[in-house]
Amino acid sequence: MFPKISSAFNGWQQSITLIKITQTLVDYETVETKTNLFFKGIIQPLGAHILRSKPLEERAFKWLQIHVFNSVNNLNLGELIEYSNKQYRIKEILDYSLNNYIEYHAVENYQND
Amino acid sequence: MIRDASKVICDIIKNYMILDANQIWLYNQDYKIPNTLGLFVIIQFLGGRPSSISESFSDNISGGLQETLIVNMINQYQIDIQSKNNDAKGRKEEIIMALNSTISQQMQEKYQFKIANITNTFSNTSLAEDPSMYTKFSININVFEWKNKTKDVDYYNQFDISDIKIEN
Repeated sequence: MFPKISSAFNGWQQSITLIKITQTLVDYETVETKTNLFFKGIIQPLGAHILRSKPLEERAFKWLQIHVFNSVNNLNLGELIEYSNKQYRIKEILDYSLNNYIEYHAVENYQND
Repeated sequence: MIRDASKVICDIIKNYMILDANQIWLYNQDYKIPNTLGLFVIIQFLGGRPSSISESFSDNISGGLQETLIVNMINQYQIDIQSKNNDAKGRKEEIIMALNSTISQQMQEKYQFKIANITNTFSNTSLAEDPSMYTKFSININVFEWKNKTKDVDYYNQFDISDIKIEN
């Protein structure tokens, strides 16, 4: 039987607030709208062993590993978030919703497309 | 000119090609390209060179002197047209049509600038993206624009040179 993995996180979770940044185009320029996201989860630096699998040119930047519990998947690939006054871009979504959590990998927003 | 030329060029292309507001934008907006097959157009200012500068004097409202400087520029813009499917290849000529259309001429007259009729070649700037190719074409256009600024100045006999020290 598949173990209940989410129970391993009991006691590690904290109440976290992230700012979700929605970008829209107004008069051909980007306008950002910020909304608060409250959730139970864990935010930690991305481990070195996972970082090695990321694109070489992005490894020098700050990466976050975010575990979100009991929440709908409301962040999409490429979306911007703000944490500790720094912007990050969602680069990977690992959907473990069957086990009641979702894992995000986000990199410091270093680029201007 | 009240509205920035790059935005007027966006207006012209958007109207002629019937694009949505999220299909055309100015370069360097930190904007993520939507994950759809749709067509996208991006306008970028590359640079420019001044072709002439003129200076004229007139009276200001308080009876003093004012100077007006007008700079004419030949600016270069790059227009990228891109899509995940072949739309960009099939519709790239519409960019040139849009810039030479009647609505384009009307907008140029309204905002007092000129888009040069002759453009450079379309460069194929397509790039591989994961397992597929991202179709992209780039074209450079020349735009004649002008800027002016009027500022109050002193008459020659009001210009104070008492603080100028001459050292021998």
